[in-house]
Amino acid sequence: MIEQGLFKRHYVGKDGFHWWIGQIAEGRTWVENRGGTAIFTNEEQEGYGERFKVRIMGYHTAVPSELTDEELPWASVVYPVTAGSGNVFSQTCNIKQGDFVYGFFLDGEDGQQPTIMGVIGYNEYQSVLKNVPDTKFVPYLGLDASEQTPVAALKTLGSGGTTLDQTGAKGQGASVNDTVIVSNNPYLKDRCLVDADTGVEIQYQAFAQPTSCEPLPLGRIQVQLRNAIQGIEDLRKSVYGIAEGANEVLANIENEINKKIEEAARWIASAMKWVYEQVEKQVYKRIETALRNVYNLAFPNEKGKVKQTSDTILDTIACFFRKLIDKLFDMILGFIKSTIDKVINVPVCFIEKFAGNVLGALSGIINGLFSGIGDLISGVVGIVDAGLDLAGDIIGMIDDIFSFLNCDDRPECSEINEWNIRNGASPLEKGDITAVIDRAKGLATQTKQVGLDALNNAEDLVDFDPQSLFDGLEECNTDPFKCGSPVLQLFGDGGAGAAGNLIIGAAGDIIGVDMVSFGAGYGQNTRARAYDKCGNGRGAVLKPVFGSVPLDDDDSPSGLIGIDVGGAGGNPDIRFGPFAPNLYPFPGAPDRAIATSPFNPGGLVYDSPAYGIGPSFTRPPFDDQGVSPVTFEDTCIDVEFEVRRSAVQDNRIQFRLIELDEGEVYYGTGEVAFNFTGSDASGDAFVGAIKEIRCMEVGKDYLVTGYEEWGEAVRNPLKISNKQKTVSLDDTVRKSVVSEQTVERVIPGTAGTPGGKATIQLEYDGVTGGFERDGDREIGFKDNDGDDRNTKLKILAGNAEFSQDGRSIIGSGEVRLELSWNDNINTAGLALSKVKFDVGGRHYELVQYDGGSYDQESEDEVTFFIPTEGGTSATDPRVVQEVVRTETVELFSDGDYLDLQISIIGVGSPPSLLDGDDNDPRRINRVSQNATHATFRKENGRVLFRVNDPDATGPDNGPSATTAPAPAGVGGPYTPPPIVYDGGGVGIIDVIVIESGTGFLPGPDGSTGGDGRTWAEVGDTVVKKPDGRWDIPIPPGNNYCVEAGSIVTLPLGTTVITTTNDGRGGEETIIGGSPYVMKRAGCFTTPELVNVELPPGDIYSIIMYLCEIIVINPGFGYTPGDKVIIEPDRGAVAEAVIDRYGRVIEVKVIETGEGFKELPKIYIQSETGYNAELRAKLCVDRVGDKTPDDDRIINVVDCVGLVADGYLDGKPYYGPYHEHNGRKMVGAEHSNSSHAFLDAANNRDFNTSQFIDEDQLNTFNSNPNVE
Amino acid sequence: MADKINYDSYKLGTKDGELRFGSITAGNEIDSVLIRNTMNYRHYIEMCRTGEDFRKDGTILRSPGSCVIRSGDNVGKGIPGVYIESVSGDLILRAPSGKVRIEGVDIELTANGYNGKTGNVNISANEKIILDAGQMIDIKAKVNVKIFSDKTVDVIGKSVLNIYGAFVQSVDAAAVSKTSKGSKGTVTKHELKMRKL
Repeated sequence: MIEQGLFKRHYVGKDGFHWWIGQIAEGRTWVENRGGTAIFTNEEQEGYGERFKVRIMGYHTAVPSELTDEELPWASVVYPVTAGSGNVFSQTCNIKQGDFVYGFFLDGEDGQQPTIMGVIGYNEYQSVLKNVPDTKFVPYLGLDASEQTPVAALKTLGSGGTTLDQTGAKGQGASVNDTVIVSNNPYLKDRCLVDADTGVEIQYQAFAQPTSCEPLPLGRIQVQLRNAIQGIEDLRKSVYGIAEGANEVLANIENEINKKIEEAARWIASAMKWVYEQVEKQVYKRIETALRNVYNLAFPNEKGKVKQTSDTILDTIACFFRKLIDKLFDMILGFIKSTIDKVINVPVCFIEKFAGNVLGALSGIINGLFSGIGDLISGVVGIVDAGLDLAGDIIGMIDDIFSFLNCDDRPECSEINEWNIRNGASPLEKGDITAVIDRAKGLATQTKQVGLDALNNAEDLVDFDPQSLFDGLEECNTDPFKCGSPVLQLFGDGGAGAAGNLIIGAAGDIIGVDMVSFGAGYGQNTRARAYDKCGNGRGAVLKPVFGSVPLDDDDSPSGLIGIDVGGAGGNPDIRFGPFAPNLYPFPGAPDRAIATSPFNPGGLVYDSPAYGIGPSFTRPPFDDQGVSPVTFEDTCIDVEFEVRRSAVQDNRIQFRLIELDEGEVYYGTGEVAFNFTGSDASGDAFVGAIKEIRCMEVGKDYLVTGYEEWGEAVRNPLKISNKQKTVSLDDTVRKSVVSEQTVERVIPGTAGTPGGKATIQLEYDGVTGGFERDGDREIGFKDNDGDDRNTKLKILAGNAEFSQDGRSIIGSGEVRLELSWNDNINTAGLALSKVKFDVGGRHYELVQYDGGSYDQESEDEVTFFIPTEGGTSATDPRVVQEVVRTETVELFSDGDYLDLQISIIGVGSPPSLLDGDDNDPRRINRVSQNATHATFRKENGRVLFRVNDPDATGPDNGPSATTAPAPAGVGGPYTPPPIVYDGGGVGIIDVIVIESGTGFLPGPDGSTGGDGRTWAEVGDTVVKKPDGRWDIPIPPGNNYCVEAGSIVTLPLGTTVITTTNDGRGGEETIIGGSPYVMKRAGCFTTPELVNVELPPGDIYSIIMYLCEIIVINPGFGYTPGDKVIIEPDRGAVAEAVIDRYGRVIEVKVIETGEGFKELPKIYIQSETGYNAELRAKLCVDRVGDKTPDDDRIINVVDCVGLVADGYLDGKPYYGPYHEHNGRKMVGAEHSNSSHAFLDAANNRDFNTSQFIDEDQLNTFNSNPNVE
Repeated sequence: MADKINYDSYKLGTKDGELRFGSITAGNEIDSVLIRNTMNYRHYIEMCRTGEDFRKDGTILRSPGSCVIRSGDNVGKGIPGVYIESVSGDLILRAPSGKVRIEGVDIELTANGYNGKTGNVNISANEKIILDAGQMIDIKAKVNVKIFSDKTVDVIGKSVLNIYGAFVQSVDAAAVSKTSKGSKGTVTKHELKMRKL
């Protein structure tokens, strides 16, 4: 202080600024200054506020034994101007022990009043003094040992990182800003990544619905059981991880597991309770019907007793069901406890069988109950119990319990019923109620008679055999799947059949969708999502593109009936929607949500794609640079034909472009195929000549073929005349010749007693209005009017008559039977189609109508012989005469070749020929009436047509200058050109990637899982115990012991040799990569993962190019000329279309580029515009099955193409098979050795074919442990 | 474009809680603002900037403990003290393991449908639905009211039971017609109706 007074002549700063760097000392030495408790008066303030002990580098020794933390000077803190200075105008500083700070001395050179100005952030280089003993200045986490580590801060470094672990006196680790590194164990890396987008937070929840919308909540049961299994699994895995371990829930894992089991049991029991109630309802219904009969039959003095007894019965049954329901929770609880370790994935098949088992067990009790009730009733009124009609299977009665949804005015049901707060909607399985009923029927065979008293008193009745609940569950595949590529899911608004493969980019993002099928029947609320069964990928946003697809049986890909739509603005091309025309279209707005070119040239809509091509087939060929301008103009030339014929017939001459072979894609604008006919030309039948113009590819051959009116190719070859300008067809007349021949047939006689008769059962097809017996020898049939006999069946002769119910003939010997009718097929339908019966080893039919031509009034007659049974009648052998009709078709031809003639009369397109329509797409600017450039010719027996460019010289001048060259480098099957289906159904013609997401696997990586989570990491060892329970996957480096019969799966490429397990077994070699069944007990250390390339599975190779740019947000303020930037562009170029409001309404792709492996970033460089948001739409070119050495190539896992041949033990089977006696069997050929049948039934893990799992194939193909 | 990048994220935090702007979640989405309890990753308020249509520009409130809203101390009669509106989607209140309890001076449930399939109040319970009024219960419908049970229906008027109708018909299991004056119904038709219940 003296020095200060004597020598300090200036204010702070003028005497020099002495700054320093130091480290905050341990908190115990200064923390009391901060109080730490809530204070309400100044007296309660213990310290001086925020001040710290700081060890200054170079000024204080680094050796704590020489200078303790307590001896360090106090440092105050300066704050930014935004923080205030204290009280309500303040921020607290955020300094912790171990922090490196810098500052200055308020007292200058004296160095006793340090003031902290700032904090130096941590980084890995600060660990330079890490291993120096007895020293400070080593970074460590500022938390005290008594404090918890924030879960939000838990992170790990990968194997290549440096771990800054605990080195401070009381630190718990090191902090690198928001990254707390607690371990460099690579196994823990993924398990430390904790936030709300991970773990149980992304489990889906199923919403309860009204029973009218959810007859049997199978999907909800599935979700709850799945969540319980995964929740418990996470708890059990926490012993290997730190994420959950740091959370507050693990004080007692067992308690948490029990809590989750009970939670799931409550939810599932509430769903199953509904099943009980439906059964109870049917029981009441059945008993009520029976008791009503009793009440009706009872004497008046008995009716009171009947009423009383009825009340007793119904009340007892009600109590019985109360007991059942009370037991339900415990039953479900037991089921889950027994199941939880045996099931990794929960397919809906599993739930169906479980529900069926419960229902079946219940029905067995109910059937016994019915048997007992009869005794009680008969004791009251003396009615035999058979009269009660209570026998029968209760399940048979409840077939209709799920059929009450037929009312037209049922409230609308919600489409979204499975939800997660972070990932949104998911398709909830509805299950197959029929499968549940069928299973219950199959199980409800054992009926134990139960009296009412027993029902009332016997508690054991309400206890099911627990084992019965597990019957058949093993048939469903609940094992883990191999993790791999995500699949496309489309759900939420009806529809089925659409499928596509997701294309995974190099960075694990989704960059495109290769549509395989469009499906039909979708609504505008249909949603698309990338479903990763192991939950690896995240963040992808997909949007379906709707298009009109054909609905008729011939063209529809699945025969489904969709909904009629008008499209936006009445356009059938509905794209993103809306489906209905806009009621108030904004002026100047684009008429579609996204651009239509070149993605959809001409605004046309596509037919369903050929496999693998998808809607991108319209891509034009590349030029030398691999870039293709998008143009479809002028690849054809108009040819004028004269069509002349001499009669109205449906024969025709077809022209077809023969270069359009399978596997080739057509890019021209000429017509591919067309017909000239007489009966429908110009819309009217005609005789004479008309002229027609067709735009035909220049320099390409068309195959010319004639067809008869019944569809066959003409028998007489086409004739070329008129200097190769005319081709003619000669009709063939088909004439049917019917010949009749009478033959005799001997019917053997029988021995027996004369007068005996036999009964012949009659089978009536197509009865509409019923029938009645009109005397012994006539049956009358009515149509839907029901007022008269439109059809009669009469016995004209013979010793026979109809049975009383009219369904059989009783008689013997020769009988003559006639079916006659006077029945208009267009009025109230037909009374009968046919009568069928078998007698004497022969089959007879009397036919009124059999689908062909029909006579309103006619008859059919047959004579047959009824042999009577031995011992009842004796007959001699008889000879019956029968008329056999033979119909043959003879063909005649007059050879005049005048029936259909096609002549070339001009090449080129004078405006008059096109009716002045300047917009006709076939127009070209060549005016020529010279037909010399078009000719017919014969070649190898075929008639060909070709037109050459009239502007060029020479007869065969090849393709015109404007004709697109043959496609190159674009393989794949041929897809027909676009077809417009006005008012057709709605399919998903494409899926747009709005957000590409990240973390998706391009193929299997060796990990396994399912139901949206990874169960076993790629390096984990998996063990299934002999009792069927799965142990939690074991990370590498853990000692593990197994019993004989355990199934062990080590990581691919690893091998272990077991040691003894408590003196037993050992010396057994396990090869990794496939399941191995332990022959003996043993122990081993779970091996470390080795780098082995996994088999890729079923893949195909593609090249991606930019085919469209989608405007997500049009932005504002843009001007024409603003540049579209594509990063990376890979040769692609685009330009924006700006409307008068400065919005981007379209971005045209000028050059498509190719070889994209990620979704390019696209934006507009503008000095005036803002906020336009654009997305790239990448399209697909297949490049063949083999993967060339080309960095443009992406390999796509074919998740759609795989179709299981059948099911073996409830699991899909993809291996070789053969058919034997009409059934599929395992193996390519049949042999005498035992081999299994394939079941055609699906376990319905998912509903649509796109979810068939390629992993199953890999399992079958690559398991060295299984022969 | 795979992993989202934001170089402008900003964070304030202590060991107990934090406030983040522009942070990226494990699900590769960007949060505009995230307020969370750093000791429990299930406790946060999140304003999402990216994601699917429901999540983008959405807000998530998550708390393992109770989430309490208490407000409206100063608002007058008829003024909403709490107002929750789902503008275009569904409003879902769910307590899968607990009760949904609604209490008020008056409770109004109104379904305003726009066609024959909407405008329904659908109350389903797999045990009981209890209507217990201190004074009266009115059940009105413009077209039809049905009360049916698979077991028993008891209509009890402890003092007076009145049944009014222009045409009254009662049918029991004895199938004896007890039609009122003027009724044209037949027993057969009513039996069929009973069977359909």
